[in-house]
Amino acid sequence: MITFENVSKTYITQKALKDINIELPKGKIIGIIGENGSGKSTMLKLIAGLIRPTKGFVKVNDIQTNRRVSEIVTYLSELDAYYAMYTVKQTMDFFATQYKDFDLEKANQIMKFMKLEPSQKVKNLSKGNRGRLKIVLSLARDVPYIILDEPFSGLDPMVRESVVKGLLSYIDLEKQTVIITTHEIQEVEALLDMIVVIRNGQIIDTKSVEKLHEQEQMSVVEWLKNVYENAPA
Amino acid sequence: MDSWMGLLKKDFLLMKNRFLVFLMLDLLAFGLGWYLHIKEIGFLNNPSLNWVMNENDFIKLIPLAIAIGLHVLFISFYVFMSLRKEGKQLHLWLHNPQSAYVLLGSKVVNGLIALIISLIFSFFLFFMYFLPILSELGPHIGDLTKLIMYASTNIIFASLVIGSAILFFWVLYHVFKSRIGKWSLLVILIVMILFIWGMSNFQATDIYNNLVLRGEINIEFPSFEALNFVESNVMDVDQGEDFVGLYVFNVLIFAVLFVLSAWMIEKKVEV
Amino acid sequence: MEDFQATKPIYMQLAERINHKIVRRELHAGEKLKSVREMAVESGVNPNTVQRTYSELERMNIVETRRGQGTFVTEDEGKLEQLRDQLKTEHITRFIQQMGEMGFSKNEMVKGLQEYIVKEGQ
Repeated sequence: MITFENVSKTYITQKALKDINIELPKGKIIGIIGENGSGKSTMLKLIAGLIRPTKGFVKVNDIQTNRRVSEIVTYLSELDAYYAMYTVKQTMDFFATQYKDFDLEKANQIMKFMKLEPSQKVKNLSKGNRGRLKIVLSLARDVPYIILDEPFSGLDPMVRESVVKGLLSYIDLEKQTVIITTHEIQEVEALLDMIVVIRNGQIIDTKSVEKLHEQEQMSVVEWLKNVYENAPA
Repeated sequence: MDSWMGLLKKDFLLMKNRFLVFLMLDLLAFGLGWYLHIKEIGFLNNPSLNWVMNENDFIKLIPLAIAIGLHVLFISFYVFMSLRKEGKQLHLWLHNPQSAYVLLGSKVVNGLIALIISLIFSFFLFFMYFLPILSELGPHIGDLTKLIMYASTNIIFASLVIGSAILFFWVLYHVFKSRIGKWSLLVILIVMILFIWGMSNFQATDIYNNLVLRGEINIEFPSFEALNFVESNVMDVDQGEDFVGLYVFNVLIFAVLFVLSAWMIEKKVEV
Repeated sequence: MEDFQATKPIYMQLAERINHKIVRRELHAGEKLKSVREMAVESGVNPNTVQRTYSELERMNIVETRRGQGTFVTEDEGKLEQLRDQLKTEHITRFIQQMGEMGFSKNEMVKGLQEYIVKEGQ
């Protein structure tokens, strides 16, 4: 379980998160939804231990996070980051040396599923294929928490579909938890167990997606519109 | 072990092209020596004479000698360039279960290996200048080797210390960057100047003289005695002195800066 | 990837689709259903949701889970016949109710149905 206890985060002068309290349960696919600059990337970086809260605590499995939480968390940045001199295969080989739980065989499988060419240089890959490679690298780890920052942004619909299928094929929700930030809600609605809506550094609401359908007969998009209209900007 | 080798390899490949440029610079200095030589002496009709080393002909050696001396900056440049590449994508570099000692260690070890290779290459080129007068060199070979080893050791120590200082300032820059933003570069420059000023002041103190300049070693190059005239009596080329304490001091500085850098990476740097 | 309506839980929509397949005899008594993962990938749906669909069908005694083997359509033909009847009744009820709300008489409904079927048959 991932918990935020009274977490605030301030960058220089800008308040990115304001007193966040939330528990993200295990074994679910959780979507953190919000506009650009709402604080969703900050939440993920806090979970990955790559930044520290200005106030409060972020804990993964009851342990306060720091950089080394990467042992049990795989974090995929929204930024296009890679080692340019490597090929697809060399990148996977490098990751295999760095993470004990990196399963090269599984990586090869997912790579084939994503139709990537092992000998291709990463810097020569299209943006879509680099997005696919990032998914390969994240899902090949037998890791309890998979954190994906905007895995769909800037990808065309076909790539998005292959990313969704890749996710569904290679995660194991009995052992793994997936946290995604996105603003392409419509396409991932069926993928998510739970959504967390964040705006201006505050969590406005959290909801189980199926409960939303059942009790309010609303899609996430419709519900979000309501939430935004009723919440103070 | 796998993770360490993986990092070393990654850091080597990251800098492979830059490293080749370093080696090209060594070669360039070697070529420049020849160019100056030919310009100074002229290209003689008798080709064998071109190879002869005259006393006014040391100009040939100067560029490469300078290049070898500049190797004291080698690790700093190498580590700085390598870190700059990671600095653009810190979340990729730091999202790694290895400790900061390992991440930074891989950079320094890579720099050290590259430095040693470049030094060997440079000394090899240096030796090429002497190839035609090899027979005259015979009695000096022992001392020459000693001189090269001595110079290399000093270059490597100095390079490691300066390198660790650059490493430290780079990390410090990133600590500031997430706290004071655009002012951090200015602050780092001021800190660097203060650091250099402090160090040079410290070296003038009695404490330094008493604590560091201990364990004097005399190094003698008896076969160079005949060459003393070259430096017009200002200095004897046939002997030098050094202090064990100086090496210990360098190692300490390196260790302190390295540990501090690693600590800041773990506790203070944000992506 | 399949499309789902937002006004109904996805697990129910999936269950309905499976029921329809059974009634259409695309899925036979005793036949193995796709694994949760296969079903999730095929329809682009969260595996937890698929799991819930299967639990729901199991609760309705339409499928049974055999430990370590997977989920199977029940062997009980009677149960499947019952499902068929039940779906038929449900749809007819809804049809009659909606036609009634629009003011059609029962006679009109029967006549309308007959005419429609004859037309379709040609």
